Amino acid sequence: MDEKTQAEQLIVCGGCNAKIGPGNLAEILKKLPTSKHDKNLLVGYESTDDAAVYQIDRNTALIQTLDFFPSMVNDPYLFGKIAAANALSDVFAMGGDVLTALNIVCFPENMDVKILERILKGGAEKVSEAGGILAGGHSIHDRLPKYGLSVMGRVAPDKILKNNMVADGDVLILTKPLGVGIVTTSYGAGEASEAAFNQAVTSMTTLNKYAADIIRQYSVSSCTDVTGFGLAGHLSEMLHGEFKAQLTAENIPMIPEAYNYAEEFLITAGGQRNRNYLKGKIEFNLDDYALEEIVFDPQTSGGLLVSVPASVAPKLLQELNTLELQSAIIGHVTKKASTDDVEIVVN
Amino acid sequence: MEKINALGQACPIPIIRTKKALRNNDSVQIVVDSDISTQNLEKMAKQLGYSYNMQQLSKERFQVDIKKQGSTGENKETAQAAPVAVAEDSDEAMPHVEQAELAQVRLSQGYIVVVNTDIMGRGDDLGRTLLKGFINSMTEQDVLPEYMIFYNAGVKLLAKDSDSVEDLKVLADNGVKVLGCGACVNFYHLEDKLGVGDITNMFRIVELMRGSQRIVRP
Repeated sequence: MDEKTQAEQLIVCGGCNAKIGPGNLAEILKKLPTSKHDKNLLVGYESTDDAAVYQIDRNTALIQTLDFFPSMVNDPYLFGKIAAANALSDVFAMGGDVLTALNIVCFPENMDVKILERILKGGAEKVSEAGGILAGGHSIHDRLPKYGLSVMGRVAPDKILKNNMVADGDVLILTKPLGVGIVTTSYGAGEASEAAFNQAVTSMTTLNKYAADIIRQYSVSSCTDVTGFGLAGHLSEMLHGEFKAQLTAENIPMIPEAYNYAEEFLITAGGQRNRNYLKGKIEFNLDDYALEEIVFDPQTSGGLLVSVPASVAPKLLQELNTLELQSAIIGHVTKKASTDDVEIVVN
Repeated sequence: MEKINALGQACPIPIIRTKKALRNNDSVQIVVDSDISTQNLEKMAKQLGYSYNMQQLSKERFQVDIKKQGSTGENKETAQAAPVAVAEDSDEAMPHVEQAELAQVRLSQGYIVVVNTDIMGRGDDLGRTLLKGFINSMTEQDVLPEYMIFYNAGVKLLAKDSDSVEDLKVLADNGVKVLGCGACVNFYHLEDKLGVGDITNMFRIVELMRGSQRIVRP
């Protein structure tokens, strides 16, 4: 089998679309025995945050995270870049700097190792661009290729950007367009244009480092990265049952073709899992089925979702929009009555 | 009724197959292996105003029946058997497409557009303006061609500075495959000046033209 046909087998509806649904996961995590309490664990998994944060001395906390998945593109080099950008993103979403990264590799025994070489090259380039050191890794044989990173980062304990500190009156900013899940899946099925696919690739391979470097200079309330649970899923985590977000549909950035593809029902299982999970928690005040799909669409290496005081938002947005990928104010946060089940309203 | 076995296929493949089958059939039965796929099929049926019925056959086997409203699911059966059924995606299928779907831009494998000149009709000035209008109107069509083929002086429209390059980009972005004849591009020295489209050869042009249901020329 030549390299090309092998590479074409790389793809399996992958990326963050392959993530286990948030509902299933929450059920399992609840049943696990709780670890010993340690006051130095500043962020653990009871908080649904992007990464674990552990304080080692007065001025330093370590960020620990990992992410890997099967490919959603045919090109192994691009897959490496996307998977690495996605894994590194959790450190940036916590407000940290990348220190070291380890490769996580699953690769079929009988597949051409040149493909693996291309994957690792893409990954190594992104680690280096992120300012980190690729320090090792672990590889196993598996039926399908999968790749990702385990990443360690550093942050000052008082500079951690948590994902659940939103405040009443905050404005929500999103730093990348939505729809990469729909576009890459449609492309894999031969139903998407090159132009849309290239737009998705540009978005997925862009490190969140650049947006995070700007965001860190402002007093933001909360920050997370939008990945497998889609905009709606990650926003819901951010609101953690106590706040309500009002989104303005027309301001939500997206790859335009993703909307067209959603209209053509080029929809994913991941999107539907997210929709099921948020049933009753989200309300659409407009009849726009394709937009709903965009809001639930699982993102791979998606943008940062930031909650900031309204007074800060215009200047932050202006500075973010000096970057190649355009950010947008997508809505605002209000307090939610405990009797109200609806967390997200799309107008 | 069309039957589709989509076991082992992940979304959006079962949806795409169902949607295509519904162009020529009033009723489609699909077997999928995941509950999530049935939910996606249900969303599509609801959006298109079709009836939806699901039956779980076993743990990983779900049968979904989608029917156009007011249809018995039988009336297209005879047409299917006829040899003309190869006109799968042509406009012949359009009368059976529901309103909800008509509103969407659709690609049709049923027609291609061939442009063999840079003027439409006779007379240089009027001809150029008309051709520009022709390409622009192409972008507004409900059903887009699958291919647009440019040969002879037609390839000039693919140049970066052509009046139609933006419209052609819109068409290409919407999935129309824009192709230019390589020999013609060389003849007009446009090799480095192309703003849209891919290069093709006469073999492929003949193949596409003979395989097409209908050819539209300006």
